[in-house]
Amino acid sequence: MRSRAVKAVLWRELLDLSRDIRVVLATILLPLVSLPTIALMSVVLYSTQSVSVIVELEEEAARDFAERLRASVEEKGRLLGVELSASLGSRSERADVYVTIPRGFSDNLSRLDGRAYVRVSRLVGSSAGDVAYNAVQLALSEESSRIVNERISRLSSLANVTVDPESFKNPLYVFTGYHAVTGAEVKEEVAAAALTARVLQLALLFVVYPAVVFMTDAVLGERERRTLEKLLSATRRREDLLLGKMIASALLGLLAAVADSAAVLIFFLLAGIGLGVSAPLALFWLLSALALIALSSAVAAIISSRSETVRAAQVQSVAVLSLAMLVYFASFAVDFTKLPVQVLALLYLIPFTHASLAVQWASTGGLLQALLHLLLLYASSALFLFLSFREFRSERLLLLRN
Amino acid sequence: MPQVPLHAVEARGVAKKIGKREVLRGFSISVERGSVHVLAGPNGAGKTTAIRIIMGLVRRDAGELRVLGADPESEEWGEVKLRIGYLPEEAQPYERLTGEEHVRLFASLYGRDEEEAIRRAAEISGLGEAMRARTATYSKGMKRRLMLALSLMHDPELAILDEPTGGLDVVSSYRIREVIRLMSSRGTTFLITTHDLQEAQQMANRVTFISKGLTVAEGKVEEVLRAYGARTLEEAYVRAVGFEE
Repeated sequence: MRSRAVKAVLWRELLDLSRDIRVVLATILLPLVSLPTIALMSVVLYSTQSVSVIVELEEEAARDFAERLRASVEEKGRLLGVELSASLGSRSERADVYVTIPRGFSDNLSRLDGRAYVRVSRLVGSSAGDVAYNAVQLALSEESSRIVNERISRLSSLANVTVDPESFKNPLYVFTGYHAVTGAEVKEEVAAAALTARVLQLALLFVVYPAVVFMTDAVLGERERRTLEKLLSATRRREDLLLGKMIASALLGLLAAVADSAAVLIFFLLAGIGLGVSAPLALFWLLSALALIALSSAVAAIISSRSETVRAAQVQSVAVLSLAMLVYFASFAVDFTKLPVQVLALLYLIPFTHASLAVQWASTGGLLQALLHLLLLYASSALFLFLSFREFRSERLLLLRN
Repeated sequence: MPQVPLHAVEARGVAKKIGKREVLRGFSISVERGSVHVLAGPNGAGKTTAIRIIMGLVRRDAGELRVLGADPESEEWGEVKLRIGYLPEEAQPYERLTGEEHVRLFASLYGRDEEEAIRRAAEISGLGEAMRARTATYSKGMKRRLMLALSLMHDPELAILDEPTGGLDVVSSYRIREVIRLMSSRGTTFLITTHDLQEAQQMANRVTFISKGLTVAEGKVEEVLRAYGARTLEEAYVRAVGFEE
């Protein structure tokens, strides 16, 4: 009988929501379509910028250098994925970057210890200027390296010794690897998973948001639409009513969370950031998301039970969402485990932190720590669920507006 | 064999404060089984709060209360309240659900067979084919009739209707009164609130007057009329409480 009441409430919530096509579109499909579209559009728009560089030549003797530089800049433009035109010309023509090769350049360059000067001027406040500047910097750096190689060859023949120019220039070569918190070496895939974990930590924000919105509407929306009292009078236990609403909110929240997180991952992949997902990472993210949905729904239910209107509840929910934002944005930029104990202790008081840490530890193989944070998250969720059931009283819900 | 109490609702000296306001100061009522009992009083007299206390939706601060033999604040109330049909004042259906879907929902909650409940609800509401349409397309009267059907489709022992005909047109009000008459003749007890005393006189065989949270008169309609030397309940009410708002 009890499960029948919960099922009936759940069925009603899902049926009602499934017919509210705008909500379904806004919470599930819209992010799934919009975020990758934004990434794709950004890539397309970036690559279709027309970027121009003009190499200004003040002495004819440097023409070869200027031609080489021009060709190199165009090649770098292709590497950077933009339409970049580079030509020899003058400042009277419009360009995003001017490279001026002054008089005396060739003389300075031809001496073994000579330093030749190049003036680079970039268009202010323009991303095209930034792209052109990067291309010019890369091309000049390559030219500089080529000149050093020539000078080393000249010097070595004068000294009558054999020198490898690359070893001469870079006597130290760095091999980069990765290690886990235990110090053990880990593969590159783990590093990719760790980066994915940071993105997924950020995406946890999308888990909190729909659950709060759905739950607020499921309680206060019903009261404002004058459908709640009849439902309360026909439900044997008020807990059944709240449980049905919470399960519906959790199901929709989970769907929205998976869609939103997938959209965030696609966004980063399309933006050219290499990501990787491991089985423990996926499992811990899913378990964290489930607990987080329960926690968020419970907090929203408490707020809704104590608020007079949907608007008031939404304002209070912003405070909860701000806490979640604080944790999840910080987790993208900060390694929580490296924070001073006092700061970490404060963060531990915010249940959202444990979801973030569970995901972070799971990505780098710290399964025991991940499990511990997951348990703390589930304990917090259980506590807030208990409180929400205690607060969900018909008297409070019906009389707040009187 | 447990004894069936004579009164479906028995309240004595019920008091309730909401915030700083004393909404009920000594509300008493005795609703006999099988009667159509009207709880009458002006807006703000405390009728809805009294009904919510009777339904166990709001707790009382003081007083004695038994509804179908149980205290609404007791553990057993969860079972007992499913034997009551309650129509809250201004209750609205879900706009995106059809009439039939509403019946399925409440039949599940009351633990009744859905198909039988749909048949009963159609009979009570008289909505016919409209039961398959979403309630967003219903008129105000159709919505009220559906809500009434949802409150009565499980053949409750006690039906508590808060302003069932409030703001409805003549035909819808008539239909609702007819349903009440029919079900009353089959033994259902009705407790109905209204501030329309002409309507109360048409439907009721017993009446309670409430003013400023206090019961001021109660009894059979003819007894109350006789006690106040009145021809109508309206006249009796004015004599009982004066012209105070």
